[in-house]
Amino acid sequence: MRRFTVFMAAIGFLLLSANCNKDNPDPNERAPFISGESVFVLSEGVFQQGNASVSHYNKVAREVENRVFHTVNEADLGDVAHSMTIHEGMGYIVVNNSQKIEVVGLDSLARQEMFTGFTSPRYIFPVQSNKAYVTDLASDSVAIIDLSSGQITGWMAIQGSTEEVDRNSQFIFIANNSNEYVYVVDPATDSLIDKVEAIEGMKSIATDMDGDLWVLCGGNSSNNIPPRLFEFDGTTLVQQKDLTLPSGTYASDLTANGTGDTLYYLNQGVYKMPAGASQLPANPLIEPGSRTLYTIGIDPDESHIYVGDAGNFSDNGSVFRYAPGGQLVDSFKVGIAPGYIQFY
Amino acid sequence: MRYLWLLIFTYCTWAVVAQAPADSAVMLPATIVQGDRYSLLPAGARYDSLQIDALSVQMTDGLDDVLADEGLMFLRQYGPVGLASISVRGTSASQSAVLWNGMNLQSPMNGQKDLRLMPAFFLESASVSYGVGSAIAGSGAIGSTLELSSRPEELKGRSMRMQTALGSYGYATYGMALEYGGEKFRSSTKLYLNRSDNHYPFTNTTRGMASKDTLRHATVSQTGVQQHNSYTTDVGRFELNFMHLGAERQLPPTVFEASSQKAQQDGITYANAGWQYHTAKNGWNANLGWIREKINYQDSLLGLNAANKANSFVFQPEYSRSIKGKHLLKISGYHRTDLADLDAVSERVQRQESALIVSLAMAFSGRWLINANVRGGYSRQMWQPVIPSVATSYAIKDYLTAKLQLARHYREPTLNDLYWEPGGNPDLQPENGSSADATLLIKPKWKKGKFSAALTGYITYIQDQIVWEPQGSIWSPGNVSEVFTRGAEAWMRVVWPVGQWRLAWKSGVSYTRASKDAFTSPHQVAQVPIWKSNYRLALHWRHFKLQYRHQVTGRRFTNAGNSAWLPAYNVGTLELSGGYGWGDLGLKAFVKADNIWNQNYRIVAAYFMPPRHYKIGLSIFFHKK
Repeated sequence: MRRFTVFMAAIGFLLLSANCNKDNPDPNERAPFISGESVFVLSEGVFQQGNASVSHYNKVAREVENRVFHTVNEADLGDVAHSMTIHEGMGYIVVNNSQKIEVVGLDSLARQEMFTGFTSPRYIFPVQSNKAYVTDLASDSVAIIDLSSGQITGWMAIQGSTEEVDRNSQFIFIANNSNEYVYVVDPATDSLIDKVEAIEGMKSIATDMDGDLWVLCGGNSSNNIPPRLFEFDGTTLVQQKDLTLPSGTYASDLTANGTGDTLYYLNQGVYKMPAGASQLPANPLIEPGSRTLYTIGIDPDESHIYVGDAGNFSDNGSVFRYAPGGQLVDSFKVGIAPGYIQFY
Repeated sequence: MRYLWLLIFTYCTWAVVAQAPADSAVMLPATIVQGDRYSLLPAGARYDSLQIDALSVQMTDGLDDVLADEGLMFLRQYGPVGLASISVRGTSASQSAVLWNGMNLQSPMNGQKDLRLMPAFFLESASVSYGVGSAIAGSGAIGSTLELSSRPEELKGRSMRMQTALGSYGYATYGMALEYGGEKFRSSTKLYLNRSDNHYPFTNTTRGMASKDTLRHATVSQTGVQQHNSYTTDVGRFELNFMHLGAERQLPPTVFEASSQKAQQDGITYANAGWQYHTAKNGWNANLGWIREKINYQDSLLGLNAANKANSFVFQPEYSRSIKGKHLLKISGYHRTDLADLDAVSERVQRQESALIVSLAMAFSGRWLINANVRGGYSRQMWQPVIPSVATSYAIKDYLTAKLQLARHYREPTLNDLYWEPGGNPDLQPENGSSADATLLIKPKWKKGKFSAALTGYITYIQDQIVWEPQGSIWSPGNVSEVFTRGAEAWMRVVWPVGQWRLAWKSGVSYTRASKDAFTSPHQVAQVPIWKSNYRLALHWRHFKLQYRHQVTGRRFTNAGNSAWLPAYNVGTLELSGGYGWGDLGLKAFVKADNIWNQNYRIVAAYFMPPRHYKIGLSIFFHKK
């Protein structure tokens, strides 16, 4: 009995000691993330498991740290991290199924604020120093938010699911996944001033070096609708190109490089085309192999291509880094279902 | 500190070896001879009979709470309102069969059965057999078979029962039973009402600020009616069973959401008509069943409104013949038609399944029982794999029995798997696998008290597991995964009388290692606790009982890479019950405190469970023989 008591006391001491050993260092004690060297990878996690995460990758040192938000803030990021935007020294992480936007400092991802009041937020897009639009899958509107107070100051009524937002020197463009229109907004008055007609199923838009608007409609294989890529003049909004991708496939993640002269998109593999091209590329720059390529990010400085592999969407995913010519440079493990890549 | 609890309790239980269910099948029992093929379930398998006493405290609970109190299965409760399903030996909810009067209640749409909706008040008996296999219980009986019965076999005379219980967070339940049991005719009518608001406080630790929160939009109201009639004549016993369960549920926001406007309405009807006839050598059984499920789901925030309904028709004829008075041959047929109107599918979908099952139970020298089964079936215009199982039980000594079981398993894809639009895959093959388990029962005869213990080791392999994965923009199911599970379960029960007092102890512990895609994978399958244990200490004095129950559930990983998890939790329950009778009239009352240590815990990631809460209940009964 005495031995048992001693044994249990020893076990208890070890367990209690282990509990005292915190692995959550003070954010101030961490080496700050370096601007120009940092890549943030958002992993969605599994729906309703609340295991979304952010990884930080130093592209110079080629070092990765996973679950940064959780470590720094001793809090879960939430359920389905969808996108991240950087604006005036702050990071804005949209956590879709948590109906919130986490506002974080960029040197450590320490939480500064949390914006709430959304239904199913997708993207936050700053249109002025203190004003941003938040698109939403389900609210039939776009929220107008005051970035200094975090308050929603108004709504722009747009029926359906609004997705990516982009701009040129004149207009703000908002993609709508529920109908065939890209909405054109005047940020001064927060009013819809026009709409551009493409086809249903658009999630992805980009602007090129001329300010032209590119719209990628993903397609629907079960309804036999092939993906299509449109180009519209950035001033007149007149359609310039209508390029059809192979039927039975799905395309996403239209992205322009830093100079806006090259476009990339996912269609199982990664495709690359000059913004002036009149035809789609026949072959992918990066073959998918057995991977499930789920997102791409183009480094605005060196045009390296970062590709997220979501695997089976329940195990941790990976990110592959390629040189502009498609040569593999590096790869690293991240969280479950990497779905967004943001450069800092 | 919670790990210390787990360790101490685990050590204590293992130190005394294990606990045993009361069965020790050393001869062919009368229930096996006379019952339908499901009566063969316990032979060779580890088996738990659940405490469903007519006037017990559990009578006011849902079946999910009873199972959580009694067994070693991991009960996945999605908060106080949502789906409650069982996970046994590392399997998913759709891999455990739930039988009611011999009919499999797993939904043809999603393969699951929401145990929250089944009031314990409607059940006369309930038992769990582990790893029995699909040869007897059919599709989906991989981890376990939960067998429920609403047949009042022991009913004699006239009786009336009324019960009510009130509790924290707006909990109120009412039940009434009118029953009659005569020589030939038996009848039982039961009504059930339940409502709770579930507006309880919790600490949301997921946001990093340990913020105090209150669950909202969580009101649930349930109604139920059940009818049993049986009549015995010279040409056998005829019976009719009917149950209807209805529920209106507000589905609260998950811990990740700010608000919710989700709601669900359930309407479920079960009915079956049976006939049994036995002579000295021969027996005939026939059972005709109907299951209707209607589930409406709304989320006004997202503009969702989905209505799904399914009808299933089951016919199960059976013939049995006694051989030399010691052995028994059973030949059973099975036909099931599932029809469903799925919200996402434009046309009605259907599936037909037919099977022939041959079972042989043999008893030798009163000590050795062998049960062998083989099932061959046809479904979706293709032959199913032949599914055999063999189980044996041998009494090595009067106090020591060994059980061994080998079984193959299969699980048909659900109608959602096959036909959901978009993504359904009509070419899916059934999941299939096999398992082996061995149990040692110890039940010595003590002069004064009682002791029993059991130790089980098992291994299960499932291949072609159906998993939904993205195919472009669409998620689609495929036969892609393998799961290897192995583990051990130990139980112990002691009853010790001291004068007018009686002390009863029951404890159990389970160890489950479930790995995916490779036996040697270091990662545990998500949502499956490696350790789980239950403890119960009861003190009886005359008609009074003071009981403490304690459950320890180890951490559950929330991702396949095991880098994130939900912490282990301890939940304690204290209850005091007592009764008194005056002639034909009786009264029983209880008071109960759940989560007595006020743990702030989650079973699944999305919801914190209620803090300490209370119930008080009263039953009045009249019984005249």
